[in-house]
Amino acid sequence: MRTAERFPERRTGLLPALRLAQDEQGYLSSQVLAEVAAIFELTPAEVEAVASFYTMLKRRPTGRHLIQVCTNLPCALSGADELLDHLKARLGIGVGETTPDGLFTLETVECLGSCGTAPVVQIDEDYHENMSAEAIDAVLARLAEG
Amino acid sequence: MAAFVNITIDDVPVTVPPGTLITEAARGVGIDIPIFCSYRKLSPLGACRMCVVEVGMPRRGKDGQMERDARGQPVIAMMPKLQTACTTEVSEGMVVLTQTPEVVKARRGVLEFLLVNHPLDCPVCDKGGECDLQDITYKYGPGKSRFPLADKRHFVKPVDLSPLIVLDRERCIACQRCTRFCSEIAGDNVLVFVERGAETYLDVFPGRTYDCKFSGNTVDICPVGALTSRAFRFRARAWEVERYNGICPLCSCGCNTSVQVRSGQVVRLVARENEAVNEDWICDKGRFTYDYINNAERIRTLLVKKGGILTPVSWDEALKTIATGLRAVQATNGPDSVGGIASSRSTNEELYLFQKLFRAGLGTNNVDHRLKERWYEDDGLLGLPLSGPIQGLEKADVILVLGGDMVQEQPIVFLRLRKAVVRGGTRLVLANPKATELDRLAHQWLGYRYGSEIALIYGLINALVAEGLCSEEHLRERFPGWDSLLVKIWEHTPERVSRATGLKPEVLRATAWALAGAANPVILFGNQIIQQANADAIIRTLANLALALARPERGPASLMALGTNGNSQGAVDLGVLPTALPGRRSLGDGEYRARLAAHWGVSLPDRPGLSTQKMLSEAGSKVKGLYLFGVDLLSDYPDGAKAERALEAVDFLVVQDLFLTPTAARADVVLPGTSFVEKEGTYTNLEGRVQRNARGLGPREGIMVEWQALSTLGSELGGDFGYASSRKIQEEMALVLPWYRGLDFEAIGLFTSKESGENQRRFFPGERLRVPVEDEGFPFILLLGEPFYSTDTFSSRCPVLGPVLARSRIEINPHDASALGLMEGEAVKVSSPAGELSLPVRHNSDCPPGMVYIPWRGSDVNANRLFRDGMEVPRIKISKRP
Amino acid sequence: MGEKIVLRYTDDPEQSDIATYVRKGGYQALAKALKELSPQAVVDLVKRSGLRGRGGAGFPTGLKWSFIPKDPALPRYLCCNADEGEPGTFKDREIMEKDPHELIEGIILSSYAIGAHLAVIYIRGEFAYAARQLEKAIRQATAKGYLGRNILGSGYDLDVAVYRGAGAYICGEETALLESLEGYRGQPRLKPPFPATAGLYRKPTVINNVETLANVPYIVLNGPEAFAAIGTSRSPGTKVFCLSGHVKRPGNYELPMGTPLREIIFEHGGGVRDGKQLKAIIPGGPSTPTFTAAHLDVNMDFESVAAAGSMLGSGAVMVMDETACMVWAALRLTEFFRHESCGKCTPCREGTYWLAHLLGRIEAGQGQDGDIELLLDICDNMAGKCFCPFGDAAIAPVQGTVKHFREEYQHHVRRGGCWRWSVDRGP
Ligand SMILES: Cc1cc2nc3c(=O)[nH]c(=O)nc-3n(C[C@H](O)[C@H](O)[C@H](O)COP(=O)(O)O)c2cc1C
Ligand code: SF4
Ligand code: FES
Repeated sequence: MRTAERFPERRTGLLPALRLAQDEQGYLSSQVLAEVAAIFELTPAEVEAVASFYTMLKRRPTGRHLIQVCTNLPCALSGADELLDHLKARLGIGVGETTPDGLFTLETVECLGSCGTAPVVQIDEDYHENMSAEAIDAVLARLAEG
Repeated sequence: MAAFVNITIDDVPVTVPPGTLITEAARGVGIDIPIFCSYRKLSPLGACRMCVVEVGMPRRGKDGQMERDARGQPVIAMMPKLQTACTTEVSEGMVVLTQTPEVVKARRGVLEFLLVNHPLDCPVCDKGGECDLQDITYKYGPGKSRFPLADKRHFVKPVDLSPLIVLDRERCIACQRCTRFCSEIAGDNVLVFVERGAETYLDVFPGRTYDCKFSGNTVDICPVGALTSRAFRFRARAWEVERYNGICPLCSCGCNTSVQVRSGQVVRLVARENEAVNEDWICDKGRFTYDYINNAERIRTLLVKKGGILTPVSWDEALKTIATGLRAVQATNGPDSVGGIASSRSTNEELYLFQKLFRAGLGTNNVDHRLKERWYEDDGLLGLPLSGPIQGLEKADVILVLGGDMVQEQPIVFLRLRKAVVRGGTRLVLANPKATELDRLAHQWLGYRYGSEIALIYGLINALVAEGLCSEEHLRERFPGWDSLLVKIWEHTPERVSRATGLKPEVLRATAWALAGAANPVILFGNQIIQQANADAIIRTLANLALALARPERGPASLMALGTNGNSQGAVDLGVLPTALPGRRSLGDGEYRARLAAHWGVSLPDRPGLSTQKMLSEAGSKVKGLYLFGVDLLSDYPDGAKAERALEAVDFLVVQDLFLTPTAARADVVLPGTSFVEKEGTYTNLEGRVQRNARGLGPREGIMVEWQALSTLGSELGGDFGYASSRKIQEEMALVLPWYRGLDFEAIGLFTSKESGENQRRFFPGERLRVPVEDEGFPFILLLGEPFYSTDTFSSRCPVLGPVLARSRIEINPHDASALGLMEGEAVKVSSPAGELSLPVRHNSDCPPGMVYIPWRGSDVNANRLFRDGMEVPRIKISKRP
Repeated sequence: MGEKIVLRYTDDPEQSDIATYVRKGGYQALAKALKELSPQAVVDLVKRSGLRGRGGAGFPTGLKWSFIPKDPALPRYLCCNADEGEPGTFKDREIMEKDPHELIEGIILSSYAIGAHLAVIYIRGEFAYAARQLEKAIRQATAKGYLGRNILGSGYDLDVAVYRGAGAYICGEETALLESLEGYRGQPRLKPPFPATAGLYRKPTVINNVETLANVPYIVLNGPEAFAAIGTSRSPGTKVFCLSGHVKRPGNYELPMGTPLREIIFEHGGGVRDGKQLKAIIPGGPSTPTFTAAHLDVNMDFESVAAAGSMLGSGAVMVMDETACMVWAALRLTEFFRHESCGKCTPCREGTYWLAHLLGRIEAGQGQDGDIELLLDICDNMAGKCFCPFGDAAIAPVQGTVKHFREEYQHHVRRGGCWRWSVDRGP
């Protein structure tokens, strides 16, 4: 593991390892946490303590695509709530839920650091800025196809 | 740095060493600063914010000098924000204010915050009455909460963290005391906080339990009722209990406890602080092994076998029956036809009286306390103290542990060792036949072949000499025997001993370097040595090693035994040995014997007595009468078949115990025994520290405690046993025994003087190099061990321990297991030349190939069926069951 | 004036490529420093420039560097704080995405100045693209000999690592960042010891914000005087203002320190959108107390903003027009703080929970008499009493909005709801 080699203490590699595991498995099951713990010679509990602290690390599976709507103040001032309502209606799910086809999970997040182009929606790793109902529909349609 | 720092707290001048925290300085002068998260044994955290105070510092000019006002007083600059007293170290001239309106408001604020989500269930909370939150709220808190009750944060509760510990998350105030205990003190890291912010909660990993040998301490240090003990839940209110200062009799550490009693029942045991012994901690075995005391099946009457049936009788009749019975045996078979075996969990006073009863009352030296132990076979070791201060481990820079599993057997001593290694940077060298939990801490690990200890140790001395690491001149000059030892040492080159030990020569050399480089080395040895057939020889070899490490500027390395039971040390000191007189003097020391005899006003037998092992071998032939004092021979003697035969063979058997054990059931006379809570007495721990245990309960109607029974019996036998109280026995001990001379039994936990320790000033003769023989028929070396939660008379009668008691099993290296095709959990036939057992298999890579491990007493099977006296290193074979 | 430093070239889509960067004078400061300047000389330059930290607190950068112990045998580290999580702030992201070499060069110079051989960019987990841009820039710089062993033949070695966070605002606090980097829960550490003596792996460590470090090449190349000529005497240089909310042209504006708020909002931001009236301004991120239209003439530099009762903070200027309800806005921000509190200390953990709870109740029209006083008292019980500055930040939205818009709170409590629900003008 590259990160671990570069740093004087191995444990620095823990967060990168958890991210990697999540990228591969989709989420961090207890099994995965225990495996990571073994690699770092930590107890599974220590790893869970760390994993549960960070919101991007998921202890439960999400849909194929994770839609995260920023609802912090700058985005809210630019229509994030309406956008969220639109998404809820369009996907037919509430916040924290996954569409029955397992394609999309809808979440709200705190400021994504893109307030100059609010409202912003992060889908997986990508930012979608200056979003409107139509624009997000187009994005979802693309994702649903591919 | 200055040796002291002067500060004022609320105008009270305080002088403390630099580095002292404000909270500690305040406590020293009786100023109360409320705390939650801070705990003196844990690292400062500063998280609860309860301890905030105002702090000011003298203003200093550019030249570094204090500025002074017109009156010459230093000008104090108060810090703009409140500071946490628990994390702020004192510094010269500091001014601390703990009662200002700012401080009072802040405290109130923190309390209100803590109560926002705290349930108001004090009436049903176990912590009620000793809850910091309750007490501090009463003292400093807001009168009422401004938070709507309905909106409190909720958690599922209570949660079983383990069979022993229950968690109520709503009561938790996130002070992190418990988690810091886990990571800093116990080092297990199984209890953690997960999630964050207001959702933070305490947890163990999903699907696991709070599996820790020290978990009960978190209950003690939890400032609220979040962590509670399953055993104590709803049993009593804190203010209803009476508290007694107890000493835990289970292992040789001798932890100080507070025994808590209500309506004639022991309801709880908690740790009692003793910096020198157990600090603030006790292990879960010690903490939760007490319900047997309350058990309804306790023997409450005296029983004499009449027509084959144990029948209740009076004390008078019972004691008379014993006296007549033993005398009758002696009348026909001679004085040495009776013998006594006493438990090494007995008090010093009982042990002293017991051996006196046999020596002075019955005229025989047939007394012993050893069951599995094989040391002190002769009088060679009596002059060695084999003990040293537990606190001394923190000062050691290198510690060698040989043949002991401290985590299982002396858990609180292990905590001290851990502290030395983790905080003090002590180097730990571990030599064990099997991997143990201690290995994680070890800097060097020597996994030697069980039974090859002597080769290993002489290999080390050889390496010391060969590498030029001994101060040979000094040794030759100061300690007789060095040169003759050298003659034997030559052949033990690391290369040659490696065949016996299985250790690579460079490992031995590295260990020799580590030991020789130490300024303050300590050597500890455990039960795997003490319980070996040639224990004495191994210990002598170790003593040679300790001496070989001597240098002109300091004496030999300290050598400490990790004894088996709570009073193993006392049993040796008090001469419950067939060849040693009380006071660690050889029976052969005629002058000493004469002095003792004069004291006791009798003549004392000089014929060496029989050891437990020999008494049992000779049972029915030479030995016809046995008195078992707190000993369940059938269960606790390593050679089960032999114990069985011996009990069959004797004519007259007396058993004194708390329960009608399988052994007691065979007795002709049964006397009720009492637990440590029911009597006053002292115990000597592995340091040689004599500690007082107070009586917390009873005596029950019509019950004599042991020392009374023994004195009455002694008088019955015609000796001088008229002790009015246990204090009188102590006075006699202090008078008679050189090692206990002058000991003030009023003062708790004094250290014995150990004057005879000076004797160890010569080398013991060496031994030839021996290579253990292989035995084709029984291919596996068998290591028997005492698991932390072993099943015994006491633990099996504590319901809360039921789920955690060690299960019977045979542990085997996975490679060996797969070679034999043994699946995990599969029952196999394990046979030795002594007998056979059926046991489930557990794969465990802690066992090296070729060696298996079986706990002596698991929950259902007693491994003493596999052992036969005389086996040096037991060997077994394993066969699949048809 | 109009001089820009850190965002000077960010309009060029090719700027992130090393060739473009070098063509425009990139890595010249590095070459100069390694050839002509001792590490101490670089520290002195930065000290003389008067550069102050852009991460929020405005601590003098050169001074911070000079706290690093001189003993060369001790390993020491540089951490670049790229956790940019303060709502309304998006300047560091722009620098990293569009001109990553500028940051890398600043990091190399700063590491050289303090004698570090490992520098870590702790970047918030969500910034995947920025992280990739940085990784690419590091690869390019290494290939060209600006990074790695024996940089430009000077004998100086440096490794720069990009370390991605995983979603925790508190990890922007410097000691929480270190905890996170060491593989623990991102909770702040006790100070002292300060990072300068016991930081990453308990070794001396400097932590600086992205924008701070991105200014260093300019200072080294053009001299401290050129830098100090921009801005005000005590707050020299430029500042990137992140303009968001109800303005016509939100975005990053790099302007001299001391630029009046009015100019930022009306000239650069084009004024309030849809012809509405300006109502409230959060001048430096939610951690800073709220301003109103009455504050438009405040100059945006550390001193002036502080004198006006708020803080320059991260430079996140959030603008709200007359349609915004202040209780609602305070609730949004307080929920953010509740969500991001690390949970270590009592007043913050419970205080943010309780504040959010009360605000939610008031906003929903279920407030009770005394709730406003209770809010303020909770704030007071948190103020200055938490373990780290997060606690003080968390009370800013409530304190600021109650101070200036108490009548909106009263409306919610007395009339059982928001004025927006019935009328479309203020209360
Ligand atoms: C709660 C909290 C969050 C912070 N978040 C950031 C952040 O995202 N980025 C940042 O550069 N500094 C942040 N800081 C400030 C840092 O602690 C630190 O002061 C800064 O990185 C120092 O860099 P500078 O001197 O270059 O400004 C935060 C501080 C606090 C208390
Ligand atoms: S103020 Fe306390 S709980 Fe809040 S972020 Fe800082 S340490 Fe954590
Ligand atoms: S006791 Fe000082 S902060 Fe908790």
